[in-house]
Amino acid sequence: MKSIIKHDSSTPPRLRTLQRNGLARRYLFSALLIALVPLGLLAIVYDTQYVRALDKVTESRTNARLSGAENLLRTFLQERIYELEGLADIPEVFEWLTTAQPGDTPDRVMLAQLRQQLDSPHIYGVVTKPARFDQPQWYLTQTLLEGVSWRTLPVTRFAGAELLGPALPTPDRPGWIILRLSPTGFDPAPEAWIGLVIRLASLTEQIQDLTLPGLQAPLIVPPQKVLLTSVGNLKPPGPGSKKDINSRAFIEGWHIRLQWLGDPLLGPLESARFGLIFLAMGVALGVIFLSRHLSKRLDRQVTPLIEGADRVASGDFDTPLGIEGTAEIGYLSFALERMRLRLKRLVKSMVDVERRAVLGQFSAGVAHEIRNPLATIKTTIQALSRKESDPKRQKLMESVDHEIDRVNDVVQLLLDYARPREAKAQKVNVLDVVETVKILADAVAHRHGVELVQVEHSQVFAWADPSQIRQIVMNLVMNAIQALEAIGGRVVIRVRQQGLAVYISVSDNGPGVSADHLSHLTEPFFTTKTNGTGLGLAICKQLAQANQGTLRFQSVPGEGLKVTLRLPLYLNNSNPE
Amino acid sequence: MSRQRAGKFFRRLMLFSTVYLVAMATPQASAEALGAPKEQADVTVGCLYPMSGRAGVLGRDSVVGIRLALKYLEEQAAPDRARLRILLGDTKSKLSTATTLARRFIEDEGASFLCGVVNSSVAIEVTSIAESAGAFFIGTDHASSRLTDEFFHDRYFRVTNDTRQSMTAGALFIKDYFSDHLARKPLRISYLGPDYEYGYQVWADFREALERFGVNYEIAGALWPRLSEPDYSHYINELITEKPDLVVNSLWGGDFVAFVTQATETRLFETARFANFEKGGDYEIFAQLGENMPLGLLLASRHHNNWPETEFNQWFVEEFHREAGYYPSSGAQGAFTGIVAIAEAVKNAGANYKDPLAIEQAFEQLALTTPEDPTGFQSSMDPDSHQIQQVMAIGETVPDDRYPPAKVMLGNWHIYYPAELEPRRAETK
Repeated sequence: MKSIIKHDSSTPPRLRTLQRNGLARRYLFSALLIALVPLGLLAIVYDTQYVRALDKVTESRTNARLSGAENLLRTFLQERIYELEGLADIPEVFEWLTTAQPGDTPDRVMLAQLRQQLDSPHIYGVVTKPARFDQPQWYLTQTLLEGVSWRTLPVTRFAGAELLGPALPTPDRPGWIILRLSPTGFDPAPEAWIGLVIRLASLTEQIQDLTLPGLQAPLIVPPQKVLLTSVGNLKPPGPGSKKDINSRAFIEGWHIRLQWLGDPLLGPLESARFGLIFLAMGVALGVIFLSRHLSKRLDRQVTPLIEGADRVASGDFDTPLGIEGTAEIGYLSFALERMRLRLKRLVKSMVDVERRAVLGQFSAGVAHEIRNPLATIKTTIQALSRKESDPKRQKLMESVDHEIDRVNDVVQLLLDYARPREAKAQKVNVLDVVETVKILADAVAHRHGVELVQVEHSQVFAWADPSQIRQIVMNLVMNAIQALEAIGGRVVIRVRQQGLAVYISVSDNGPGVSADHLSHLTEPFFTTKTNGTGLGLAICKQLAQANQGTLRFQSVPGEGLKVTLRLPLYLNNSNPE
Repeated sequence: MSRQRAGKFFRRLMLFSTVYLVAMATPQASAEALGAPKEQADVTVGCLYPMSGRAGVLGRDSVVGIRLALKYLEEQAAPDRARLRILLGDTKSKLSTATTLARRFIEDEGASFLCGVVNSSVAIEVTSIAESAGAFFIGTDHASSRLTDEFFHDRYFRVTNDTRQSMTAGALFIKDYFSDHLARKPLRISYLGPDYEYGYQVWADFREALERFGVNYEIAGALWPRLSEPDYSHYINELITEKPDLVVNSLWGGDFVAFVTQATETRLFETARFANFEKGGDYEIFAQLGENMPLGLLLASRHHNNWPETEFNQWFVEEFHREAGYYPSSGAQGAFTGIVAIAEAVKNAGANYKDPLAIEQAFEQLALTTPEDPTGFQSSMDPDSHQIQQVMAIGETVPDDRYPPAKVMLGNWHIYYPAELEPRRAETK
């Protein structure tokens, strides 16, 4: 894919492209995918299930339930008609309805019959209208008639009877209906009839089972087109919903309405849906923010590593990478730093080997080409010197003889460095070695005004080649004395044992060595002395390594140099070889 | 005979049989007598109480109350007192049974007094029978104010509070208790009362009293569950939907227990204050609900076991407990007072105790100490309305286990004397 990233001169295009496709960005997109896809799926499933549930609730069984409720309502009225028929058939009642004259009062037997009806919880009272009476006679103990004219109530025919009403409920009293029956059958204008004053709530409560709390409220719509609740109250008129369901007329002019109450329930559900969407957006924003934060943090931690790796790649093994970062990045930088140090050592040792190989060939050639002529020259000079009487020339020839010896020594050192002698380890009394060196060096030290001090220590044994150790210690002591040459000072030799190692340190209080020079001290031909060969410490390091030891240099410029030789401790089970 | 006519004949036959069995068999099976035997009795009193169904506890307690009254009269009265014969009839909470029993007591047993009746609709029928038969009817438990108003007659006297008194006290209580709310906005009130005479009258008297005292209120709704309604859930949901500040309820006895039991399962008592100024504070309610009785309900009753703390009330409560093994509901005190009032009126009539006019005058002048009277107060009959004048006590439900099995009783009392309730009665009559 073609990169469209504009890159500046400080960042290589390849790196910018890599960063663009970096782990943090991938993590961001993955996280967004992981967070949003399930949320989206959840929202879709929720929506579809919700709609299905509503459909199921509102449609699947509604018709059957409505039909059942209509039947209950008709049955309730039919039961009352049956009671009314029984009442109208009583001879006293029949006689009263057909023959009573205005001003007559019903006899006790008839009143007892009427009172029987009032024991029913559904019946408020009984009303009779004898044929010759102008007004019906009410048998009611309740104050139900106030504000109602029975003549104005709507009339509905049902199963051979007539339904008057309902007289609608008011704040003072409940609603009621009259179910009336003519003993002679209904003519267009019945003259005699008997009716039951029925509790309206007893009729409306037949539809209570249609209630779905929070979803649907069943209502009865009477001929007045008002809405009656299942507890017989008037419901304030309000805008209908498309989801309202009207039943067929269970009796003429009366039907059931299932009023949809979705809104009160839907509101919280809609809120939940919006909440879900906001939650998804919040999660997405959170993931983006978190990813950017992680990405920047990752950049801060990885960039120094990349730069460090680049430095190592370009040959700079000395600059530390800087171990920073947490967890994986911390481990990575630690591993990279370790890699840098190992690479540094590897390269250095490879250079040493290379250098030594070259030097070996070179020094072997030089030794071959120089030593023979030198031997001839030395013999000649010595012969000439014996015959020379002029003291000045004699002195000059001695001097040439010394210089030939010195050249020979250098050649020997070169040969030693190029072809180091194998160490023959044995139990070495370190204090003996140090004391021997001290005795040998004391004279030189005294000559240069240097105080040579050996710090006392109990006996300690190392596992090393004694002559090589003596050579190293002697070299270190002589270097220290030479460092104090002309200025005087103090050289201290210390021996100590720690763990499984023996340490011999030689320190002086001379000018010391700068930090730059410190790491080059053991390189061959590196010297800070005017007449040094630069091979002494290189050979010492070589000898130390041959004896499984190390050399460590510590210096504070102006305060002196301390060189510490570490050797393996002699143990009883040390290899006797 | 056509098939239709044959069916009609069969229905008639069935109906006659049913009516005959109900009219003839039921009352005779329920009658019981206390006090003096028929041949020694000076006065016969026929008492009508429901002794079965949800209201049965009131009737059964009333019978114990009557026994206590006879015992009390035995201890208090002079040897030459008139001897009472008390007939007890179980109305079974049915109007037809009650009226048949009333007629039988008067016509067959020679009762000159009827007493009792819990249901106001039944009481209206019984008072008509008493009026037409020339008997006295002493109301002990029903409360519709129409009995002393529209259906008032010379021989009707009521010895317990009526709906007008209790709802007037309720209105005064609301004016005081909700004064902070009323100062800010109208109090939204929902009413739920039993669907019969009593429920309508409580509501009418309550609104009349609120308006009389200038209480700022709105009607959130009125609901009318039928007597002995088995399921109040739709009514409770309706009340919650109406979101009133105060629910005023006038259910009583087992109906009130059923309502409260069902309402405690909902958030009704959390969303609105709840009051019943008539019979909601009856001990039987607390006893039946036990630990389930909510705290903080505003209730009253026609008698309280823990108020007033007079010797007479304590005697009555403890004596009842000794007799029955449990504490009395308010019906017991009503019946007790009814019998004591009859004895007192007969005593005050003296030698003329057979003269209805003398009895009527004695009742109109009646002053009586009842267990319900606080110290320094004596119940007295209002000669105009024939309604006894008593102190009203409204309290809140508070934890109190002195009367087991009840765990809650009324406390934080608000007391209203007749002088606070009655001055305007004449205006409203």
